Amino acid sequence: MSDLISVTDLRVDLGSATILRGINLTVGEGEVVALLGANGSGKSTLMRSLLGLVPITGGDARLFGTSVRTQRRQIPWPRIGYVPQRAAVGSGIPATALEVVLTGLLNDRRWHVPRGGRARGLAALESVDLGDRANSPLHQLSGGQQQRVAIARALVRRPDLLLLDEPMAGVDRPTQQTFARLLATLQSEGITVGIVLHELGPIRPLIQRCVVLRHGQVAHDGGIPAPAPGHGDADHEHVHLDHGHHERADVHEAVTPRSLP
Amino acid sequence: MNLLDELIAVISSPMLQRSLLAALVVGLAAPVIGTYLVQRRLSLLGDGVGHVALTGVAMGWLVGSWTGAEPNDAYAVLGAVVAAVIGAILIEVVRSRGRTSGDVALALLFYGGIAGGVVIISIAGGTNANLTGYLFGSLATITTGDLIMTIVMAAVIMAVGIGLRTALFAVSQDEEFARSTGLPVQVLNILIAVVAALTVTVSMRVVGLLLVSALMIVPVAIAQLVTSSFRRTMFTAMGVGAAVCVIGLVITFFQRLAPGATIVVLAICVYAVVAAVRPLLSAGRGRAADPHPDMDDDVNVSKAGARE
Repeated sequence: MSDLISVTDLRVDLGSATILRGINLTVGEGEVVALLGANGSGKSTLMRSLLGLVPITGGDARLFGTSVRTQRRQIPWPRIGYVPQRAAVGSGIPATALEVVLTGLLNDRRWHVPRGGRARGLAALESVDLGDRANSPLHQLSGGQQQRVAIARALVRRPDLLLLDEPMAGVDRPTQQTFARLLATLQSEGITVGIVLHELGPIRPLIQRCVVLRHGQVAHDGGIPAPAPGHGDADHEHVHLDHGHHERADVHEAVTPRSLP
Repeated sequence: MNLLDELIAVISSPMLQRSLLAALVVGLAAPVIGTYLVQRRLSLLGDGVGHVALTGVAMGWLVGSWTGAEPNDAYAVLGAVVAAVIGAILIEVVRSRGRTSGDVALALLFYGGIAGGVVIISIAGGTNANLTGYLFGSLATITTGDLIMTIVMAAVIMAVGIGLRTALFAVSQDEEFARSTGLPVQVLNILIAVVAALTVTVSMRVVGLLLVSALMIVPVAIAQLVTSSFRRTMFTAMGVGAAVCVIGLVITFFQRLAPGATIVVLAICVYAVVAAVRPLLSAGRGRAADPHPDMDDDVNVSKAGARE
């Protein structure tokens, strides 16, 4: 079975609200798929239900051909890397970037950092341009740097399937550049990537397929859709800080593949 | 007789040796699990479990009086362990459900624990005075058997807390990510709750149920003032915990003070001093360094006094 993700007639209810219904979706090996949609359309919920973080109330989702709903224990978790929407910084206890990244080496069978894990963790931080911040406490890093730590934590697993939930929301320019470059590398290495995005922004040239959700249903599955009126004019200025069209040229320059850990 | 002779006299007493050793191992073990509790914002869990454990003590006493056990409180510690474990698992279940009523449920559990303990002890024919040793600690009456049990339980706590450090850190730091790695998050959460319950019962001897939480949390609060990694915070807290327990106890050999409370007051004094001194220590480093050297400046500003 070459489909890494296959979703059939998926339904998710949270409380009395139906968040997703009738979702059908397959993602094959090596695809880079953007999951788009307005706020509240169910993008994050879809990604979280794939990982079993939200209970599925109808239909099924399969990862690597294994049902998330009924065979959760059989899912090959080490092959999956996840970057949550807002990486939890944690509370009072300080933790270094490296300590957080090393938790990415764990899975259902492995509860300890394996031999050589530290070197892998450092390499993962290096790949997101944070090699020099390995021993910095997480709470002293900027939001964008924390986001990169979360990405390194997923990459250290050397996943075949990488799922990212709004990795570009509210991050600084170096993080956007790092991310665009990383994505190009991942693509060249044949890693399957699913990204929840509010808008394509600087990674637009790297995306071949977009799935658009609207009110909990798939409204589009294919190429990059045309922007809605009022969202794509040449002089359209986004009020949100996280979009940054004017930076696109810089980011393109930065898209040169580099090797991963 | 000078202080040194007095200290030697104290240290050569088997009873005081036992209490010192108990204070040392408990001081080492309690902050281990305290580190995870602070990380998960559950600093008061130890308190809640301590309250529930009191009901367990009274139940143990009741069983002892039914079975005519000698001494009367032979099952008190066992009762405390059972009640604390059940209480900790209940609190964990309420927490993981994330219900808004969780707060109230916890309050019910806390007050029910204390009140239940007092009622049951009177049913068992005891008085509140019998509970005092459990509420405020009873280091002075520790037997060799108690000491062995304390050491075994402390060893279990440290083996789990330090041995499974990365996994327990992962679930405490970012539970959602931990679940996405396939880690059995629920099992690990319950493991933390159970080990916290063991910590409460083992610390009961030293500082008493009402102050148990202080021994788990205050050393961690002190450590995090001066550390920058999770690992170092845990080990520093263990050292601080052991030091305040032993020093606090030694103080009470010379001054007639309650050991448990003295240890906690000492720990809080250390916290206050470290918190006050810290800005002086870190003034030299860090202040001048740019925290984000890779960020270019966004706008050009002229040097000081831009306004004419």
